[in-house]
Amino acid sequence: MRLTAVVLTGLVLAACAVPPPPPTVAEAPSLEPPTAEPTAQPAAVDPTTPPLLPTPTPFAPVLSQLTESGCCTEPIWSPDGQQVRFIDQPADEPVGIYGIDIDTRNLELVSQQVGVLSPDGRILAYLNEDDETTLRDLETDEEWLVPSDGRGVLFSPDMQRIAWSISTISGGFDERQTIVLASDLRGEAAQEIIRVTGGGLLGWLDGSRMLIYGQEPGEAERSLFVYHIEGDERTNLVTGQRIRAVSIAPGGEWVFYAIALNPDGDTSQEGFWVSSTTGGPQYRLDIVGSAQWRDEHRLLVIPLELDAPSHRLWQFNAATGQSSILTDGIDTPFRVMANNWRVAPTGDRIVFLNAADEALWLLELGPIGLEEDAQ
Amino acid sequence: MIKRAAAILVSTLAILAVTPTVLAQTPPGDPPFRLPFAENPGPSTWYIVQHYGSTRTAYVRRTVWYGSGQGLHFGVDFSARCGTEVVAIGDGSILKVDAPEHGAGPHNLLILHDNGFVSLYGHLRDRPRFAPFTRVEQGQVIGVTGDPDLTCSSRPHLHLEIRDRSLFYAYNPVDFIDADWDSLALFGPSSGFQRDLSDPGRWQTLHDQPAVQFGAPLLNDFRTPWPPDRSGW
Ligand SMILES: [Zn+2]
Repeated sequence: MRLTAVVLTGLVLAACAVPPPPPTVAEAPSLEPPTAEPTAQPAAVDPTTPPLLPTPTPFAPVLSQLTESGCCTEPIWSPDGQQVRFIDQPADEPVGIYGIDIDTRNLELVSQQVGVLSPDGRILAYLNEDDETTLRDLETDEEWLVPSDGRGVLFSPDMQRIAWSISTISGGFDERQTIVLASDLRGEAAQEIIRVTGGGLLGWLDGSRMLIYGQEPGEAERSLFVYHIEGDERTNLVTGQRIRAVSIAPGGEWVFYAIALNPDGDTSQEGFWVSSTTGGPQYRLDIVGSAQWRDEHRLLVIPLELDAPSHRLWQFNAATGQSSILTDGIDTPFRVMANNWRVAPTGDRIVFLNAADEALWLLELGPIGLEEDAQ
Repeated sequence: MIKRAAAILVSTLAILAVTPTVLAQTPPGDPPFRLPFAENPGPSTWYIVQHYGSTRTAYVRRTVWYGSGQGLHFGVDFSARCGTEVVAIGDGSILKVDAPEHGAGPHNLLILHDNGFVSLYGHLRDRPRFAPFTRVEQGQVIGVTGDPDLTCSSRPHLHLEIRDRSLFYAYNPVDFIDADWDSLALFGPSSGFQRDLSDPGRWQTLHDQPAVQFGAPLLNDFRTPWPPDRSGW
């Protein structure tokens, strides 16, 4: 099997062909004005944070169709933001991870072996036929095994380490125990990092800090906390609350999470939060929906507005406390199917599965920060 | 009774001989049912935690929790605090109260709707106080949510199924319930649908999911699954 990327320019693809010239949005529905605007309520910062202003952005967002209907789901981006990638099997081609160039619309086979790509796109983690976790360098084709016993691994952003978790699989979900382990990228120097109950490793913040949820032995309540693996120190962000939908900003300075459905019925802290991981502010967002980070401190949210004719994009800047509406649902109507959307690493566009035609579409947002300068 | 069982067996065998999957069933016209909660979704009310069909969660537990339903998740799971009121999704009459043969304990309730379909409400905390054949209206409170692990801190949720009148088949509630499913998914499940790499586009959307025939072979015992059948992928 050829391991490196194979370029298939000019390939005729029945299942995932390059579509005709990007149409404008078909049948813009008659739209009601948006419902109440979301706001950010800073919990521990300057209360003079400006309110959300529905000023028109100086850049008009642009929608364009990227693939044909029914092509593919769960898109991801190449690290340079030039390709949208997905698992696919185009006609007469092997199944694999494919990437479509957002400018040329050429389709490329990125890896015939399906697996998880590292943040820099260079390493592919996959399960080999002997059920061993295998890392493959896509540039050199070198492969090596790591000692996670077939479990998936999380790459640290600096590509120096990997981590994995071993969890018990019986008992209540709030009582299950997890051991978090880490090694270097070669799988060497593996060591136990921490044990928690009722949670586990949520991700790497940077090369030496992990974001973890759960309670350590002897603790009475679960916490969301930052764990410094080199100093064996931890910093709590939230304690005694039920956490879900966690997302770590690039760089690891900020995290997003939802507090939801505390079993004891305490609703006082429930909602969406953005928290500094280094002792800075925590913001409570007056909004519910799907959140992803646009850059080191800007969070994008598609609000959950039932039966609204269009989804919208809202932005919160954790560095300034500033909120912006990026698309209003009227000039740029779109509906994301089943939460299938991803922000480009460049932050200037998203890719989403369009509910209307089940094709992947791009939504170009323009240069980062332009909408804030206009306020 | 024997006659009915024999008829079901014959039809079951006929279906198995012809095709390994049951065709998805959709009601005529607009979706006839409503969501099973009076309040809007949110972090203090309820949200969808597992969709219907070939979900990642169901794949991992295809032989344990979901083996009787061909390995698929044969309903929709709504996360909600214990004690949250559940409402009838349509007009009908109570068919069964606490029917352990249909799973979803500690308590469940089945309503036979006027259009011939049946809704099943599972993991209710208390035994619903209804006698069979009692009429219920759409939107009427019929019970409160509970936790299958009986702690109310593990995974309290409502498991909602749509079945045919024979109760041998379960259908995709997305086709039967009038709801903004794509928006509900925005604050929804954290994992998606399981893939079979020999047919990587099959059963990957909310609508494209097969019907379930209870007792029939697994539909998702994939030889080339993605993600793999190990944790952390
Ligand atoms: Zn369920």
